[in-house]
Amino acid sequence: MLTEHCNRVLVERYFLGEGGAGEKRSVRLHLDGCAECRGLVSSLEKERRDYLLAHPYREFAAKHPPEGNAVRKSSSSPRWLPAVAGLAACLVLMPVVLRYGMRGPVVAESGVRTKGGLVLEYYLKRGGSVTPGDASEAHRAGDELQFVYSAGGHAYVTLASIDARGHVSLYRSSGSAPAGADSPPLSLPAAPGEKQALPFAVTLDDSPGSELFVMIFGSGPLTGGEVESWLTGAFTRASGNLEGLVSLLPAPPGPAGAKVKTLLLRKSQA
Amino acid sequence: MAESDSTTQRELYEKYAPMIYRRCLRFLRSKEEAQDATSDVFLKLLEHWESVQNRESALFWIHRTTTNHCISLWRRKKFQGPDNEDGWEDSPLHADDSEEKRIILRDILGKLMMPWNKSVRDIVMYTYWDGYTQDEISTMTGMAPSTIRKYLTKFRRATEQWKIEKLEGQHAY
Repeated sequence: MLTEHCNRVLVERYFLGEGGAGEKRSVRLHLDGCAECRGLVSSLEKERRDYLLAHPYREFAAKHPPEGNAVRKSSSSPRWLPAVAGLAACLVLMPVVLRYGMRGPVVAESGVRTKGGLVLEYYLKRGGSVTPGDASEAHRAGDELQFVYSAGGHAYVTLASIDARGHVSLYRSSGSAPAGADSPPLSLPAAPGEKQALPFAVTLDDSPGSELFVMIFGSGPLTGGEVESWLTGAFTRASGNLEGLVSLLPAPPGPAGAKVKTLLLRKSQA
Repeated sequence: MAESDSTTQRELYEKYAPMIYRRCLRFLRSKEEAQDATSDVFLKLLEHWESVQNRESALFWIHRTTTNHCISLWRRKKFQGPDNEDGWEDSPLHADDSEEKRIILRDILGKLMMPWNKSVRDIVMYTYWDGYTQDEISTMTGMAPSTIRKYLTKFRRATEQWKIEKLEGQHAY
């Protein structure tokens, strides 16, 4: 459909996540071989980022309180679905609450949002094309990740990752830092506002298996040693299982009140 | 409002508002006006989301609604503003637009498109304003390329006649 010539409408639809699986596959193929259309995706992405930095959602919501313009649910959703979903969530969470109680390990949320407004997302740059990251898709060595975050009032953010072998990577503005480095502080002052980009990108290496990225939102800076021992300790308790580690993370190091967001990325064996 | 509604609204905003703004800014050429217009169009999107999401593409709805909203704003400004009664200086026409494009866009903006149906207006806007190809318009609207060609030919013939009449002084702005 899009392999021989450019179709900006299809690229725009792809950028918006519209179209069926076949259309998306076709556009992805075209993008791999078309610098012009990759440029269009990049410019759309930049426009989106610039716009949301200048006009974040909370600005719109403050002027137009959501109560007055709630999105209408599709009529295809049964009215009882929310009640069933709530009940299912309670049943799923009950063992976790009973097991760990209030003082046990923190259940880190793997995903996008928490009630406190914390966000950890990323954009994926592969072969010149930039797309919003999707943790459910397989990643490759060489993929560049640009993380964006909303710190929700926390003063510092710290990014680290641990791979399937238990190797911890710590990140600073200058890129990856040697594990165990105690100074200077590893954390960056959190920029105010929503969807702030980290001042560096992370390139995935060719280590096999998944990689768990962790962002700590706290009130003070952390050292590399603190973060490394926190992650390796959790890795050991989870018996080297990164999926299990997500739900077994203890409270993060540093001053009380720190929060954690995680992203577990699967890497394909290229 | 339920948390899920709030989340959906936020997701829609982050997905579509930047694209709406881009189109508004191109039309209105003022960041403040474009931002106000973006809010207006986004509120319409929320209001109509149930039907919009059932369409094959929200992009088409957004393009059409944003264009119509901006034309409406611009018309109001032109016909109500004391300084704009006989000038096109602050219209969305760009200095580097070709003469043909300027004439056709004036045609649209000046209500001379009224006799045409919405589909023709959409096709003309996508062709002359956005610079989309007929294939792209077909993707956007779902109309067959042959129908698009037919409408454009019809429109061009009528415009030629209008240009001749304008040169003869039968139309005045």
